[in-house]
Amino acid sequence: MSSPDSALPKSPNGSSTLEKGILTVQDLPVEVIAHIFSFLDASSLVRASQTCKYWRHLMGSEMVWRHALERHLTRLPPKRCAGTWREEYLDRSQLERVWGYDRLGIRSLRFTIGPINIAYVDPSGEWMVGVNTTTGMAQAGDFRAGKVVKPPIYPDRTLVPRLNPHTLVGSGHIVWGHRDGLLTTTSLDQEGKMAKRAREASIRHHGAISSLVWDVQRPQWVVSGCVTGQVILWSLPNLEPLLHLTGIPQGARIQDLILSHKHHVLALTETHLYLWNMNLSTWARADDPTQVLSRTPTKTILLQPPSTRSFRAIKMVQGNNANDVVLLGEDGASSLWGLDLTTGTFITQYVLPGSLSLSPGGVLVPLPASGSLAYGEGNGVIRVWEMTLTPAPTTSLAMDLTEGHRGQRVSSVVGDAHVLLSAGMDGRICTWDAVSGRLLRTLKAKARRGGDREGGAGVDRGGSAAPQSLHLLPRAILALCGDQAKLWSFDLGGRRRQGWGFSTSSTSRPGSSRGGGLDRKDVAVHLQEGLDHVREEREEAQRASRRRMEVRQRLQGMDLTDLTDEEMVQYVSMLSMETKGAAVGEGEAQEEQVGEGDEAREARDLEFAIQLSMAESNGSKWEDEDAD
Amino acid sequence: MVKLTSSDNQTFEVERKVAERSILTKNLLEDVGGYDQAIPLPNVTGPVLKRVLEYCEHHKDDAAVDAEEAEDDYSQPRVNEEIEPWDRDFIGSKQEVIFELILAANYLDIRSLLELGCKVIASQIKGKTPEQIRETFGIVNDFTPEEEERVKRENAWGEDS
Repeated sequence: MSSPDSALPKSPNGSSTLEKGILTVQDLPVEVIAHIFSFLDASSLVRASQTCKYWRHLMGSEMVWRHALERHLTRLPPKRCAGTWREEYLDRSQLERVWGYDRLGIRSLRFTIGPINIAYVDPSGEWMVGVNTTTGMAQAGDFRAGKVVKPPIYPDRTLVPRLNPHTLVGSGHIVWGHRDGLLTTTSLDQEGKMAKRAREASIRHHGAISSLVWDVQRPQWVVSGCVTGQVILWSLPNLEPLLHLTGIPQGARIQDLILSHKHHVLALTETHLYLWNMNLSTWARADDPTQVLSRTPTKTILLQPPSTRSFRAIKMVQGNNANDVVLLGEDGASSLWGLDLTTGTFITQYVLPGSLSLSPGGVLVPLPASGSLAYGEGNGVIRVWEMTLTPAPTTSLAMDLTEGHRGQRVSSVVGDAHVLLSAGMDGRICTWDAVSGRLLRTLKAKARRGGDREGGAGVDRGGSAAPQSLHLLPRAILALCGDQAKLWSFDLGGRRRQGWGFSTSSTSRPGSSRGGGLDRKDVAVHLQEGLDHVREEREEAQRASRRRMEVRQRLQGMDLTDLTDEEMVQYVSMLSMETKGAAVGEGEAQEEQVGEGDEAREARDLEFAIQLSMAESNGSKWEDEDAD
Repeated sequence: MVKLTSSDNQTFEVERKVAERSILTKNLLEDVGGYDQAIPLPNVTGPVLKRVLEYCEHHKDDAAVDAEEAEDDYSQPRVNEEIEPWDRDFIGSKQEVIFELILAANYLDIRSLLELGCKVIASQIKGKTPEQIRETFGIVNDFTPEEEERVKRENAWGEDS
């Protein structure tokens, strides 16, 4: 029963295992080793490729990565979005692990102040504060204890509150803007408990507060705008007025405000966009307790609306260094305008079909790092646009995510460069791969069974409402569902890296001028090795392509563009009959690409890989800058 | 019953469905039609074949693996990390044994055994540093120091901690 020690087969390396005495892993045929590799997770594969030249050579094969990807990341049809299957696997596996498979613990809180519209969650995911914007009441909740803190806090007035979504722990505040132009604030301590008394600002606006905004980078400041065109910058927690941002004619209602990543304050009125450049020295100089300084706009852009409607809302899209683009939502209309801040010109229009406009809920989200924006529609579809700013600003519809919400209205979309989350009125929360648009996972936010454990009011309500608002936290997702807050948190075992990116490790190497480390030549050689392995696959595809070309030539007389849908179906089915045995799986979709030769594709792959490696080295630099 | 002969002329007699766990023998049996004669398996030694047949005997009533069906199912995670206790006992952890079984399974085309072997070997690679992998499998580090440095840098992704 023990292993035989004689008459062993010859190893593929040519050396008999008899001579060596034992069989080693290197004696296995290459396809078997590749098969073993396909069981490995991404980081193990990377480490295995560092053991010896032979294995490194094997890892050069795209097939290994592709197989591993197919085996592990099962929900995807094997589609390549990144440059190589290797890249794809490394990227996807991180993403899938986190968003697709990692265990999520769910905790929920039921607030006693009615529906929660705005929330601040501590990054630890342990406590939160919910605000009901209708009544202005706020209440803290402790997820560890599973209870809300009673009694709630409220500011006695009707208001437009906005809770800082990015406050640092220990410096959190709620700021309320009131109809009489007064601002009040309440500070939160580390446990999310609020100070007993709200603090009032020393001066007040001339009119009702119409917009309040925070600087994500500098949570100690808040900017408020009112219906008469007054904009004031305040410091927290004392709510000291620091700067009057002047230049807006009196009576022009402030529709929306932004604090950009470059410390610009942008104010939108119905006809103009005002921009104040606030560099750091300005902030500091303004810190004079006796006098409130004022500042005129650095730039005023007259908005020439292509339509007669006025603009209602503004969103920042973080562009590259040359251009910053803001998105303007038209009041009551279903279109959005992209505005190039540098030139002050409109560059693009997004027509959003469906009845939802930007104004009601801000279902639109610019995805900061990926240069794309997503918009959830009334029919359950999430549209994602991709935005390119160079050489010329253009946008294109990248994808429609259709299968998530079963036709029900999308109530909230959030995301970053890698993942997109959406909540729908069907009670589900979907996590999407922001690159490929693949649905990674769905979470049920709406309880089906009537009467939650909490009892009391919950029984009558029969479970919870559909999720209305989503928050993406470092380790959790928070959904506001009526008077309930639900938190799904990941158990990442404390091994989560900073950010979702993969180039972070390269930034930690000081003095590495080459960043990613691969130069063009290396990439070319490396890729060539990989290409050798997939050549066979390519040749098969080539044969299929040739067969298609033949068919196409036979059909040359027909102008394909003139075909009716029905004729096109016939044509495609004819093609697929001709190419039987080849990869017909993708049918019509591949049809369009028939003309592209495999050489061209190979060349493109190579170019892409080079770009990637360049991007990697550039990427690390970019991150350094960004960290400042 | 079907007779199978190993490279060292040991003959084993097994039920047909045991032999048919191997796609190679299954196809041979189908092609030949009759099966009076012993089927020669020149790439497998007696002791290995004996163990392989032991595996086949245990799994003779398993559903036949429909490869194509499995390929298209993206709804479930396709990597099944779990190994049945019997299989785990059977395959053991001794590398040479596993390699022999893998080679035989590859030759005989016994998908589940090949998977089992590869899975166990993969589990010995998982979570190890390159140096630990080399130790585990007796792999010689044939990189020059410069190459090694380059490979490490290039694959910085894997350096998780």
